[in-house]
Amino acid sequence: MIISILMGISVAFFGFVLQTSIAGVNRKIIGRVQKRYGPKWYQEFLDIFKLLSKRSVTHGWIFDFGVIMALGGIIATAMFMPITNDLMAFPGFDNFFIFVYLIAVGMLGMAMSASGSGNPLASIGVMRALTTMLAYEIPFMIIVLTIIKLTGHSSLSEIAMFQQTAVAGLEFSGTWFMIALPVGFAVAFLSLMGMLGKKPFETYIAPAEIASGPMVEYGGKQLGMLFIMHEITVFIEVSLFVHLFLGGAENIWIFLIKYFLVYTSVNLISNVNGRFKIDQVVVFFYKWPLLFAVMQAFVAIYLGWVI
Amino acid sequence: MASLEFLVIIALLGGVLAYLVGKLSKVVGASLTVLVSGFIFVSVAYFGLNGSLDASITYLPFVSFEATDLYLGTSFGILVTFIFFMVSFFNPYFVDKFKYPSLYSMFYLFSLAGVLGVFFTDDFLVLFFFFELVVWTSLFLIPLGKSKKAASWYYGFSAFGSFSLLFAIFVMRNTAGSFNINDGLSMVGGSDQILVFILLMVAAFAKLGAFPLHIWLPKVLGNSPDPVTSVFSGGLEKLGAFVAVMGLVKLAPVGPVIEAIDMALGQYLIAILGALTIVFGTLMAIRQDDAKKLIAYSSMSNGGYILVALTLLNDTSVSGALYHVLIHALASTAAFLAIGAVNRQTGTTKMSELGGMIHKMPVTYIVYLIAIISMAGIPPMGGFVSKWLIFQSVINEGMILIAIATFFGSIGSFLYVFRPLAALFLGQELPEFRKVIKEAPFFMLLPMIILSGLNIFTGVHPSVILQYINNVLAELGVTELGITTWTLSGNNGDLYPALIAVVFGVGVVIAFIIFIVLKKSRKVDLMDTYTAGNFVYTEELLHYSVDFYAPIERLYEKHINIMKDFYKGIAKKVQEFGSFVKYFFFTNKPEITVLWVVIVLGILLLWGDLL
Amino acid sequence: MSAVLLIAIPILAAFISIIVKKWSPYMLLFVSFGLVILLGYLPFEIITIGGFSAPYGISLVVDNYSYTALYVVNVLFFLVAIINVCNYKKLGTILLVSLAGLNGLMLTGDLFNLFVFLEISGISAYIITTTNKKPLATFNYLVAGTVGSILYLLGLIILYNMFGTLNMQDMAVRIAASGATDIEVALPFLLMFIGIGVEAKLLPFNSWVKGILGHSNKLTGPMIAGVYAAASLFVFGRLLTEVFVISDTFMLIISVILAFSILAGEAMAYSSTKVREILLFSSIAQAGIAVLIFVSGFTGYAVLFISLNGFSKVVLFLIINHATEVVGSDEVIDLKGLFVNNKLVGASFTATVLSLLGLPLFAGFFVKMGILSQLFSSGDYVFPAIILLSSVVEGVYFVKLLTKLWYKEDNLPQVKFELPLVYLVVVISLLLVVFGLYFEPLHEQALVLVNHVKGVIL
Repeated sequence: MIISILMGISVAFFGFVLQTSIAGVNRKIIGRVQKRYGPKWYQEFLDIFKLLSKRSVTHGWIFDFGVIMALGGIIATAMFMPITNDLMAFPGFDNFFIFVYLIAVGMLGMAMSASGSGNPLASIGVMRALTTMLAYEIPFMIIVLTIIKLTGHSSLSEIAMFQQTAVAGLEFSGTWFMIALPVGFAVAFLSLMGMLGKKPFETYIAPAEIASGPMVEYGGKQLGMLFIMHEITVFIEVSLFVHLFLGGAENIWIFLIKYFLVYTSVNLISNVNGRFKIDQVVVFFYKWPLLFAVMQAFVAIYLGWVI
Repeated sequence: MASLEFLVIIALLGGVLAYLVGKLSKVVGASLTVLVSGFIFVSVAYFGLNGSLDASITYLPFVSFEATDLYLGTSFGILVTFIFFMVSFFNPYFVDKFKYPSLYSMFYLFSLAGVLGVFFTDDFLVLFFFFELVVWTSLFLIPLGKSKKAASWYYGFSAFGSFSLLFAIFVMRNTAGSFNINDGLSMVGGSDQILVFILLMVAAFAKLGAFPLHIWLPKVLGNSPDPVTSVFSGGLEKLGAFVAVMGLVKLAPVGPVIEAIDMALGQYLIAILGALTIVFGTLMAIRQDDAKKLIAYSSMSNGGYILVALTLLNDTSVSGALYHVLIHALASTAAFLAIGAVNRQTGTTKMSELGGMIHKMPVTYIVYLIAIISMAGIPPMGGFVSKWLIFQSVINEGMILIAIATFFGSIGSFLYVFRPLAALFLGQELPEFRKVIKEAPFFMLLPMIILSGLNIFTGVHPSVILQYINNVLAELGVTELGITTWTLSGNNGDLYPALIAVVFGVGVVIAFIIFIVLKKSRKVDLMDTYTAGNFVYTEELLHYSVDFYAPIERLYEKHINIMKDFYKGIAKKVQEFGSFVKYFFFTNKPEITVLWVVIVLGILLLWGDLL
Repeated sequence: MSAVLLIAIPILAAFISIIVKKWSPYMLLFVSFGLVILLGYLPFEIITIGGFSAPYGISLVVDNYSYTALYVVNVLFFLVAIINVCNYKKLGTILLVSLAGLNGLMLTGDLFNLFVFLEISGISAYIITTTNKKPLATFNYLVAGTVGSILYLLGLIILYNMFGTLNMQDMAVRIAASGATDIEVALPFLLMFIGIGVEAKLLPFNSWVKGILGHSNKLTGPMIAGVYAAASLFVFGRLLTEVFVISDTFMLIISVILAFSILAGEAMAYSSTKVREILLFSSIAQAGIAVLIFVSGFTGYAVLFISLNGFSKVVLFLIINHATEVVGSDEVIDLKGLFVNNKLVGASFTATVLSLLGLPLFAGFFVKMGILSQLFSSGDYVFPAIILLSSVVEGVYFVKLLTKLWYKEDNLPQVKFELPLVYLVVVISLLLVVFGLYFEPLHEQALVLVNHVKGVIL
């Protein structure tokens, strides 16, 4: 048990380091896309450590408590995440729903802390974040439902294994769901952009509009912790995607490659977009993505048409 | 051995006694409800779990109780008496605000007696007797609150529901030859069975406040006195779930089987309605300004989950439904009690009028927080376990449309439960409350803390309770859920609730260590915030609580009154019909009457001739 | 003691009271109280008057049915009289006559004799209603009532022509023996049905009700809605169960009228804003239900239903009419908050309403269950549905009314209830509760009356 927990903690730490570096690399890439040099790849680490070392202000106990709950919840979620087929802390308990719901504890903690700051911009940001969540989760969940129904597993590693090797007698096995469910993949990719708060779905951060939304009041160690939390959240969401659609990873290098590709492509696409208004986000997701998701689910589950 | 009859009599006599004592001292009368409901809960729970409740009858006429197959009734009975007991702690603090305080105490205990009767009887007529007893006694608790109209809405829907139940009872009696519940449900068949199914569902929907019979629920829950609201949401609504179990699980499935999802048509239609309930309740909850109404709509949408789960008829779904009944009762009662406590201290439940309660009422805040975490289905609280079980079955059946609704309700619940948290407890501390507000008194906090403890317990170690629910499943003839001491097995994976809790704890500890080793922060005022260069000196201006979800509300706010208008339309039609008849038949001219007599006679004679 | 006395004593007292006017109220009280006591000593028998045996002479029938009916009517009459005797001293004589008429209605076994008593009680009712001070309404009542009795008479003449007898039991026997088809006798029965229907408040023959009960006072309200309604329904029951042969067509016609009566009655009550109108329209629906149960052949429960309804209506009308007299308006808005300072009366009113709605712990529940159970047993699903549907509407407007009467913050209507009235309503509502908990006697009575239908008389 202790070993497993230590293992989980190292997974979370690994996620943090991985995502923070890849985020740095991505800043560089985006910089090149925009014809500038961009910062150093470890710039994100510098930012976080600088913040953690600064003395800051607090708006009351809930302001701090929320931050702790946020980071704690996210670390806890990351601890369940499988990295490769064998590399995971709690085999058999990497249930998809744990990620969806346990991540919400972190979100709730952050939202609570932000609202506790007494700044209306933070509350507006939280409102937008929750509304965006309501928009992108439904199509995503429908696609995941399809996957779980087809594989018969809700464990991430099992789903990944299912895609890696074709087993005789097991229908649809051996293909990545990226290929097997192309429409669903497209929908899920859009949802992932929403999850990561990338343009055009970054309405809840909207720096120029509501001053970074939930983050508006933070500085110093609280902001630093929220940065850590954010990096781990991105790690969780992208790895979720890798496991669900890209067939997981046999070893850590494959994982790194897949992870890097997914995150970078999201980033690249988002950088050529503008920003939606919040009600546009909802309407957007409930129009085509939801429709296609249902279509994909229907075709796959009832008709059995899977590539 | 505790005799059920004895307990019912205790509740009734206790009610009368509370009335008489209440005449002398309101608070003592109300305190009596704590004693009596506590006694009843303890006896029901202790003897019920030991399986030694005595069903024999000596004094009460025509009443009969079930002697065997007790698990379903006992589990509901324990739960609801527990809710009554917990809520009764609030009575002494609220009773002096009521117009008829001693009557309140009496009817509170009378409803309790009714509830006991409903859950433990084996005879349909007795069930109906107690069902109606609950209806009318609780009816008189409602207008003690804000709105007097809510009572007639409640009675209208309840009566419609209970008369459907009665109709179904008699149809079953005609087949089975007796009023025995199990005989009736198992023997009815053919077209009668479809009729019974529909009628039972109407009764369940009306009581549970499910779409399209939900109109009364927010009105009643939003306007009743706070303890009554909690009892309704945690206790009396569960009568609907009880009837739903009868109609969906005990009665054989109705209609042709749909191959693709392997489900009878009747069940599927109910699942669709349940799904609509979820969506409708969620959408309405998002746009409420009154915290009580908000939780009321959330109760509605949770009722939808129970219905959806019950239609699926497999081990995960039925145990999920029953577990959800428990979870929702605990969570919504705790939430309502927390809001009730705020209401008592401030005199309002409108979120646009409140703010920053956390600074004066931290315990209430924590209670509310735990309750909503459970309600939103987030681990490590109980709500996650029940929702997990329900999702397992929905996915396993591959019901896409239903799944959309359940996911929508689940994510939507994050939206609405957060709203009171942000607007009511967090945000700026409004100056009008800064001086006067204190934390609620200890005996109000006590039940809230107990409920919160249970909310956590149900999330961390659900096996104990699911083990008991497995007995119910066996009694209902459903496959039992696979449980070990710590894990649950669903259709496509296992869950280890305690592990999640432990890991969460580890995460929080790590975060706390990071937090504590870093430099200490300087405490600043809530008004000391970033305002983009503006100078703002009033707290209200910095408190974002009105029309919180305005952007999303705008998308559907034109269509929210459809059902309400529909029922108002029906009421109007009845009224018009009445006025019409009055106008034609009740004139002041006797010749018109004579004319009618002649006309009727003429028509009928001609008709008679032709025949 | 002979049943004749039940008619003779009030008539005699009425004559005496004309001579000594001052005594009339006391005589009324004494006589009606005496009759209630005397009823206890009434043997079950068939008395023939004038020395001719059954088919030829006029007979008075005392059996389970008429005995119960007599008890209910006399007790109700006495209760109404005792409340009102001081306020309406002049009416002593008329009330005595009407008592005689009502007792006659309950007792008689002769169709023509029934008509006579119908007229006697009718005329006294017209006079009683003049105390409403709404002459036009009374006139309407008179016209409608007369048309009703003429129709009854017309039907009776046709029957006499066909079968040559007026005695009820003899008529039933002869109809059965003559082999007349159902269609042939449908016309006279229909005429008689409408005739009595006027008095029993069946829609659409009841336009008088609004004028009379809508402006009723403490005497006329309980008297017409309680005593007379019960009496006319008992007569209906007698005819429906013992004389009428109900053909399918006839049944269909009656069913339509009754269904319409029930549903429209509740709808009208729902659309009313005056308390008295709510009560009167609801009593129209109740009358429909009562006749419906008779038609379906469940005499026992019909009798219980009528009795309970009679007592309930007396309570409701007494309370509301008293309040109306004091406040000067019967609009719900004006009476709002009536019970805030009159909790005991309010509790009685509420208990009575709950009993009327058929909710558990009150006598109404048992009766309603009995009725529905019988209807369902006979395989009929339509009428129970109608009754249940109407109960929903009924419940809604009564609950609305109750919440309004119980809740108001200030500016309460200043109404004081006198002690006798309070005692009366409290006792009746307590009885409703007692019988709601201990309904064995009611059950037995229902069984006795069910057996009665099976032909004890002949």
